[in-house]
Amino acid sequence: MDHISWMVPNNKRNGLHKDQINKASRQEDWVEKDRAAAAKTSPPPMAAPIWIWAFSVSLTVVPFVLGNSEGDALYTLRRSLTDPDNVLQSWDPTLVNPCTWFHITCNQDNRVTRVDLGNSNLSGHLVSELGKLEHLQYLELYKNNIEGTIPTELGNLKSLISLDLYNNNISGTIPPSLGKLKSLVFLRLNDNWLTGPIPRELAGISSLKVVDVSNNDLCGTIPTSGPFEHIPLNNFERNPRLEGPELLGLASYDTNCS
Amino acid sequence: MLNKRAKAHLLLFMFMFLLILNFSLSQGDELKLLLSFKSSINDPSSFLSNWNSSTPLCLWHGISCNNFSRVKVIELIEKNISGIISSSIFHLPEIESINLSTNRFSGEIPSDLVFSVFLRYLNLSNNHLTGGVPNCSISLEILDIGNNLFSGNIPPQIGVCSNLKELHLEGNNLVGRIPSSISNISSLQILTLACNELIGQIPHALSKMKSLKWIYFGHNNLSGAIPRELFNLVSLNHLDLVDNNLSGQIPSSLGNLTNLQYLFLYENKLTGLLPRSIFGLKKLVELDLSYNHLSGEIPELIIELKSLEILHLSSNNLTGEIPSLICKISSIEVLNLADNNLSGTISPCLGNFSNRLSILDLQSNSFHGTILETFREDCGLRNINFNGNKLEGSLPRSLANCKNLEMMDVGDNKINGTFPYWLYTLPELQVLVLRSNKLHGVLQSSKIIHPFPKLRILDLSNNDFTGPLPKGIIKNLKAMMNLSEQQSSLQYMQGRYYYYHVNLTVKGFYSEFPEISKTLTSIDLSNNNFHGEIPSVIGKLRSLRGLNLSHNSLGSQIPTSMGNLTSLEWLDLSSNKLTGQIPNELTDMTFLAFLNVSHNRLTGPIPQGKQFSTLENGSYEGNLALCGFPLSKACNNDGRKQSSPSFLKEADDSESKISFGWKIVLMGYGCGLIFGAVIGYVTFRNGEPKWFVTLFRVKYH
Repeated sequence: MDHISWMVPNNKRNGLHKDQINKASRQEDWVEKDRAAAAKTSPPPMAAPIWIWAFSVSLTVVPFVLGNSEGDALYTLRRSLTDPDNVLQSWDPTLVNPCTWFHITCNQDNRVTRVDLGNSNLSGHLVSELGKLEHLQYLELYKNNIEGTIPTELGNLKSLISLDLYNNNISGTIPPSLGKLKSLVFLRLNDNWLTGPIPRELAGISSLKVVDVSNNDLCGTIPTSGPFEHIPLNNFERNPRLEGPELLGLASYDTNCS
Repeated sequence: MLNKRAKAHLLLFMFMFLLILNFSLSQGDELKLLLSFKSSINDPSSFLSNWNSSTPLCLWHGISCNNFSRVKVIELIEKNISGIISSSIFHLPEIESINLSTNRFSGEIPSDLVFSVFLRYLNLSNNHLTGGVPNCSISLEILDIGNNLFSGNIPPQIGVCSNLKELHLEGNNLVGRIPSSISNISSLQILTLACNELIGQIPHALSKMKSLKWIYFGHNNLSGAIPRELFNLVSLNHLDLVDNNLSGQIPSSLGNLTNLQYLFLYENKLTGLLPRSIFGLKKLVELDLSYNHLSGEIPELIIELKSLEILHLSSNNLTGEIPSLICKISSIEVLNLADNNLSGTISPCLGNFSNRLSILDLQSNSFHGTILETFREDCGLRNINFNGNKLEGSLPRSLANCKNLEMMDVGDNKINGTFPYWLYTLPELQVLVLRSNKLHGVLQSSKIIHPFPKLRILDLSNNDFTGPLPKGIIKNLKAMMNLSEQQSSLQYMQGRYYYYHVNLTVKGFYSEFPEISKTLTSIDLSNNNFHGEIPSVIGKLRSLRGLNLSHNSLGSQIPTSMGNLTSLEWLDLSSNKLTGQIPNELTDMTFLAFLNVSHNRLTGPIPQGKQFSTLENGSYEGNLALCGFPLSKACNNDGRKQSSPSFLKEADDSESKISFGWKIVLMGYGCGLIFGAVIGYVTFRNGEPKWFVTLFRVKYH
C-alpha cells in the first residue's frame, strides 16, 4: 500500500512531540490523516435496520475515499512530469482532496472537472491514472514538452468535453478507446509526433465538433462520416503519409498503416 | 576430590578455553555474516564500499565494535539502501544495536528469527518491510518498526519482550485488536501503535503497565469507551487517542494523571461534559478535545490550568459563555473555541491580558456585542478569527497595535463603520476578510507609502462600499506582484499547533481552504457599490490567482493590462456596466479556468485560442453584442480586427472541400492548355501533318 495516500513524514500538526521522545535516531516527524475529512464522514445513527445503516455508512465513506483517489491519480501525474517552473508545487497529496490545488477545478461535490496546465514548461509523460477522473471535462496540457504516448485509459473519461494535447512531443498512436468519449466536443492533438491511423471509432462521437490532428505523422485516410463531415481538411494537413479522405464503399483502405 | 585451589584453576582454565574458543569463532564468522548481509542489498551510494576482507572489520563504515573487537553496533541510517535484510546480521554473537532506519529495505523479517541475547536496540523504521511483526527477545529494550508495511495482527507473543522500554509499531497496516498480553511488558515507557487499522477496545490490562509515560494510539479504528482504569497510569505524560471511534464520556478519573502534559482526544465521538477533574491537571500544557460531541459549558475552573499553552475545544456542542477569568491563564498561546454554540460577548480582556496569545479562533459561534476595544501595545496576536458570529459595532483602532497580525477574519457578522484604514500599516498582514458585514463608505487612497505590504488575500465582498476602486491601494500590493513559485517547498500559514484556514469564493463556488498556501492570492470586492473604472494598474498584480469584481457598478472597458495577470485562474467581472470589447490580451492568461463577464455591456468578437477555446456560453450571456465562439452568433468581417479561431483555418469550411477539387481541375486545364499550344505551334510551323493544316487552311509564313 502506498504510504502517500495516508501518511507522509511532515511537520504537520500532530500529537507526537519529538522533544518528548528520548530516541537514538528518528529522522522524520510524521503526520495525521487529514482532520477535516474524518470530521465529515460521521455515519448516520444506528436506529435503522443494520443493512440500511451499513449501506449508508458505505455511502458516506465512499465520497471520502473517491475524493482522495482523484488526488492520488493527479499526484501520480505529478511524479511522472518534470516541472522546472514548480507549477505543481501546490499538489499536496496529504490534503483531503485536490480541490484547493492550483490549476485544478472541482465541482460542488469536490470532483475534479478541469486540469489547466497549458504552457507550463512541463516535460515527462502522461499516466494511465488520469483515466480515473470520471468527472473531468477539460484536460488542458497544450504547449508543453510532454512525451510518451496517449494512455488508452483516457477513453474512460466519460465526462470529457475537451482534450487538448496540442504542441507537445507526444508519440505513438491515437488510441481507438478515445471513441468511448461520448461527451467529447474538442479533440486537439495537432503538432505532435503521432503515428498510425485516425481511429474510425472517433466518427461515432456525435458531439465532436473540432478535431485537429495537423502536423503529425499520421497515415491512412481521413474519416468522412458522422462528425467528420464538417471538419475542415486543413485540420489534417502536414501529415505527409495521410492519404486524403476515405473512399467509402471500396474494399480496403488504411493498408500499410498501423 | 579436588581441593579448592584446583577447582579454581580448573574454572580459570575452562574460562580461558571458552574465551579463546569464542575468540577463534570471531572475526571469520562475523565477516561472513556481514558479507552475507551486504550481498542481499543494493547500495547505490557505495556506503559499504569498504566492507571487504582487506579492511579490519571494526573500521567498516557503519560498524562499531566493543572492547573485545566484536561487532556491537550496526548503524546504516538514511543511506538509500534497498534489498532484503539478511537474517545473518541477527546472528552476530555480540550485537547490541541495529539501526537500519530510513532506507528502502523490503521483504519480511523471518518469523523464526532468534535474536542474539545481547541485542538491546532494534530500529528498522521508515522502510518498506512487509510481513508480520517480528518476534521479540527478552533482551530487547527498544523495538522500532514504525513506518513500514507490516501487516496482520499484533501477535500476543509480543508480551515476551518483557524488558522493552519502547515499542514503536506506528505507521503500518496492522489490523485486529490490541492484545491484552501487551501488559506483560511491565517496564514499557513508550507505546506507539498509531496510524494502523487496529479495532476493538483499548484493553483494561494496559493499566498494569505502571511505567507507561507515552501512549500514542491515534488514527486507528479503536472503539468503545476510554477505560477508566487507563487513568491509573500516573506516570503518563502524553496521551494521544486521536482520530478513532471512541465513544462515551471522558472518565473523571482523568484527574489522577497528575503528570499529564499533553492530552489529545480529538476526532472521536466522545460525549458528555468536560470532566471537572481535567482542570486539576496542573502540568497540562496542550489540550485538544476538538471534533467530538462534548456538551455543557466551559467552567471557570479552567483557570486552574496554569501551565496551559494550547487549548483546542473546537467543533463540539459547547454552550454558555467564555469564562471571564480565562484571561488569568497567562501562558496561553493558542485559544481555539471555533464551531460550538458559545454565546455572550467577547471579553475585552482577551485583547490585552497577555502578549503571548498568538491565535484566537472563535469562528462559528453566537458571540454578540462589539469587538473588544483594547488591544495592548505589544499585542502578539498573529491570527484573529471571529468569522460567523453576531458581532456588531465598528472595528477598534487598537488593532493597529497587533504588529504581528498575519490574518484577520471577521467575515459574516454585522460589523459597521468605514474601511479600517488603520490596518494599512500592519507589516505582516497577509489575509484580510471583512466579507458579509455592514461596512460602508469609500476606500480612501492611503497616505501611507506602502499600505498592506504583505497582503495576499483580500475579501471585502458583500458590504456597502462605494466610490471608485482603490487605485492607490492596488498599485502598492507588493505581495501580489512578485510572489515566486521558486520557493523551495510548499508552505502553509501556520502557528504553533494550528493551521490557518479560510473560506473564499473561488471559480464561482464558496470553498473551504483548511490550509492556506503562502502563494495563494485573491481579491474579492464583489457585491458592493463600487463604480467608475477598473484601473489599469490592476495589471501589475502578476501573482494574482483570483479576481472577483462582480455585482458592482463598474463602467469602464476591461483594461488590456489585465493580460499581464498570467497567474489568474478565475476572473469574475459579471453584473457590472463594462463596455467595449474583451481584450485579446486576455488569451495570455493560460491558467484561466473560470471566466464570467456575463451581464455587462460588452460588444465585439470574443478572443479566441488557448484557454478561450475552453470557455462556455455562460461566461458571456447578457451582454450587448458579443460574437464568435462559443456564442452561436458569428462575427461580421466588417473591418474589425478579429483574431482567427485556432480551429478554423479557413473562413468557410465548405469552401475548402470545393477548392480541393478545383485545384485538380485547374491543373488539368493548365496542362492541357500548354500541351495544346505546343502541339499547335509545332504543327503549323512545320506544315505537318498536311491534312491537319489544310483542315484549318492556315498559311503560316
